[in-house]
Amino acid sequence: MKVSRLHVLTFTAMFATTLVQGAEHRVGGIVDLRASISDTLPSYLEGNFGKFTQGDGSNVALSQTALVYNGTFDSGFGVHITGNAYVQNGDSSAGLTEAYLLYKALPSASGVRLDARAGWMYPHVSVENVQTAWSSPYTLDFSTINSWLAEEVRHKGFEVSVTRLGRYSGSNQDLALGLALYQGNDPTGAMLAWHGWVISNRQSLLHERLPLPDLAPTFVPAASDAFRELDHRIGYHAFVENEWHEKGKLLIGYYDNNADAKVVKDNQWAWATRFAHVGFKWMLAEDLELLGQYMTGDTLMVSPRNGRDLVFNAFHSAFALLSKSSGRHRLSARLEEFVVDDRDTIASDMNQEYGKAATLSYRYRMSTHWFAQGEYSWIQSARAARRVAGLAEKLREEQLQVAVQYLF
Amino acid sequence: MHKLIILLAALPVLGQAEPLQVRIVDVEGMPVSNVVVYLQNHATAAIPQASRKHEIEQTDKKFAPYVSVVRQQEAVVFTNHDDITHHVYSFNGPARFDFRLQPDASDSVAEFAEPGVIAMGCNIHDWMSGYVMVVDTPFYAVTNEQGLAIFADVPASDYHLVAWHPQMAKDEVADRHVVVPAPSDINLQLTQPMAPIPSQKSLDDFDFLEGY
Repeated sequence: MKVSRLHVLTFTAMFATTLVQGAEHRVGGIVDLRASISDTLPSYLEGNFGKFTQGDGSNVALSQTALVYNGTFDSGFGVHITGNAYVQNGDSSAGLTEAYLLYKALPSASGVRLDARAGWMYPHVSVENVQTAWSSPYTLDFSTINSWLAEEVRHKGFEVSVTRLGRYSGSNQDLALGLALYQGNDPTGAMLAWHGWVISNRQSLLHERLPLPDLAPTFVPAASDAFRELDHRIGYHAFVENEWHEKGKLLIGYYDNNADAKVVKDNQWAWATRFAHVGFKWMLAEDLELLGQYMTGDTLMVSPRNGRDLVFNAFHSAFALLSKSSGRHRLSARLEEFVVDDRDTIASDMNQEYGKAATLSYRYRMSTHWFAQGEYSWIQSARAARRVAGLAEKLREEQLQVAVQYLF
Repeated sequence: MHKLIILLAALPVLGQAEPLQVRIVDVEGMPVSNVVVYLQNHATAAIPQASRKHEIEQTDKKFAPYVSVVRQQEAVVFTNHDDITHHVYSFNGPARFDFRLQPDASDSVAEFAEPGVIAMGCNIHDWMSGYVMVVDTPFYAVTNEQGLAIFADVPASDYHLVAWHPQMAKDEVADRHVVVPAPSDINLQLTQPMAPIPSQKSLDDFDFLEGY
């Protein structure tokens, strides 16, 4: 069990602050126990090429145990802390995944509200991960886009958003504009380059080192410190979100970590990673919803000696998810396509990848807090690096999971 | 003496109490529920205050009732039946307030000193929506499922009848002059379609949502 002392201290300090201030405290979370049968390679979580959290064969895992603490002050200030623990593949780990202070003002007389967050957080990108502890109410494993966010797209920074509430002017739309400035994610892009897109529910802990495949180039480290600050430059994320009351929402944004691509420390590289993203959710009927996200971007890291591109990848991914609910039942189906386009000239480091994936998930609400879920996932992909490693370049991976979840 | 008679004649006379039913129908003739209906004249504001209490519940992350009507100075108690906190606030009208309401807790607001429409929201759950209409007459009601506003005891007199709902068209004039006792039910038909009534449902209609 690895728990960062720094994060424990941070948690303790934030918690103590809210206690002193007499805030309202609320604890929630999720426990997710899963059994799975998989036809795949050893998991990317162990530094291999398997695109699921589980390797080949049958497995049982405590796939997520999360505690979420929300402390709220009367003044509109609050604290949000999410801790996660996993017991999987004979390994266990626990730590923080998000920890931030927040502020939510009352709307002004004209219906404009200010929201702010400061600390470790996900960028506002996902339309899937709306459930406690950034889990999804639709599928057990997230789309490739949100699996990538879960693995290495988080930051330490300040985010402010301004929302114009339509009710004030008789409109049925709310419009929000947001801007985040941040640090602490310079190696973001390494996992996407070196193991590619995955379908997963694993959220990297803030202190974790993420194992990478054993690749030939010497500039590939054994593991990535995804949330490390290397160049001390400030990145940004701008987004706009419009919600049509009871009908749907559209989220568009642009993320640029503004990393200095030639900085390297301890074989940890700063990756200049930027992407545009679009997400939507639309209610086709009262019990039928369509979600989708698209992301396109690129990531670059260069030799500090001669400025040559060591890795320059363009990437994109898109999914559409249809979800139908009926009483205690929910059926969700997701289709996606994903690409990593290797544009550098380093022949020994092949990051090219193309794939498609399909996920079918059925969720049953047994009682207020208990859920049972079954899910089938299929991924067909071509990845040149697998051929170099003596594996199949073209590969079909399948997984059947059953889960029991307790949410509170 | 003559002066007194003239003075009394100038005021609407409140006579014997009579029952009155007002039916509100939309442009297609269908009954409209949750419409505020009130009767007033120059004498109604002076009628002594009765101790009526009103409750607005927060249940299943909704304001219930969606529309309330109260007289000035009458107490309104807000009760949270959900297992999560609400942050109730008003954003227009004659009274501004906000308070956090913890699970199974109540709070009251009784300072509606002026008539008008108060729109309310929850700063945690933006989809929640509720209205309180404050009137300066004791003769008020909200229509039931049959579109009926039922008044048990209205003193015989002339009144200005007003109907209001937040989703009525802005330029809808839903009022008329009525005389009590009325020979039959009063029917009032709206001249324009009403906007859809908010369902007060989150776009992400799940329990255990992040951030709530």
